[in-house]
Amino acid sequence: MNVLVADAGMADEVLDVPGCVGRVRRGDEDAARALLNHLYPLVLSIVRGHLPRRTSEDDLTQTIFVKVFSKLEQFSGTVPLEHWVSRIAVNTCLNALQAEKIRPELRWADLTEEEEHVIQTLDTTSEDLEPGQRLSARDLTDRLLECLKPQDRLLVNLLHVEGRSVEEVRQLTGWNVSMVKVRAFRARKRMRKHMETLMKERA
Amino acid sequence: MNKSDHDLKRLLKAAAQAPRAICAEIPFDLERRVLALWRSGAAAVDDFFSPLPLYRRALAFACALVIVALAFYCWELSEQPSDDVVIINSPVTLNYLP
Repeated sequence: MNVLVADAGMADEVLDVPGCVGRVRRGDEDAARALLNHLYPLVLSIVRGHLPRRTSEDDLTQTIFVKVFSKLEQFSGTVPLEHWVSRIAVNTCLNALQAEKIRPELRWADLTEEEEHVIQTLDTTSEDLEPGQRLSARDLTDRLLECLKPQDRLLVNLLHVEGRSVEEVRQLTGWNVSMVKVRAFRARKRMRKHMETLMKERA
Repeated sequence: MNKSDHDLKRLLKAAAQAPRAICAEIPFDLERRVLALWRSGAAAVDDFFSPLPLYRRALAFACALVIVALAFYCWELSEQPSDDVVIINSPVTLNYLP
């Protein structure tokens, strides 16, 4: 989240967001293009974090942008545009995840060699993973997340992978704080169970 | 904290630290498609108004109506007929029924 806000902040120095929104509302195509380019990194990072397995990244990004532009009249300006867009993006991703009915069952045989190595390291040591294992850890996390329900997956991703606070998650999803905490606790429990199964299979 | 808790924390921490390459520029064809849709005034299909969920809601509503109607019917059957109905039916019962 910090990265996203920082990126958006840097871009704000170049782009006058409220003015640009006003021009887009009046049908200015150059302003629409500028806004699109300004919001693209933010939307893309959300899409990449919550992309369903069989959905194209570009298709989901396009759906989000079409929603953003079609609802731009409803943007009141009381919150930063980036927060408003993030909420639309997260909800669109959640809907796409919910449409994905089948959740795969993860087996040891499905893991890549690097992912197996991550599990092995976690099982045999108690220190943090090496920097070289981070990408594999991310892939393994994505695979474990795919086994969870869409809301649980979204929540673990937002809280633990993107490092957002409970308050930020509450604002993005519209769920209340206790619901976020309880759901996150249960989601972690399910993830632990899947990971333990993998470790047992390895043994 | 037990071992599996600790393992999961380490995994998530490493995943969070993994670099993610985010392309700063929107691909040209995506930009073109979005702008074309915006110009044509096409709104994203809102899930609430898309036909399938609407059909699902209509079906659920119809099922609920059937259940209420059945419950009312059963309740009415279990009720004893009022005296007025019994008096009106009595000639029929006396004359025509064995």
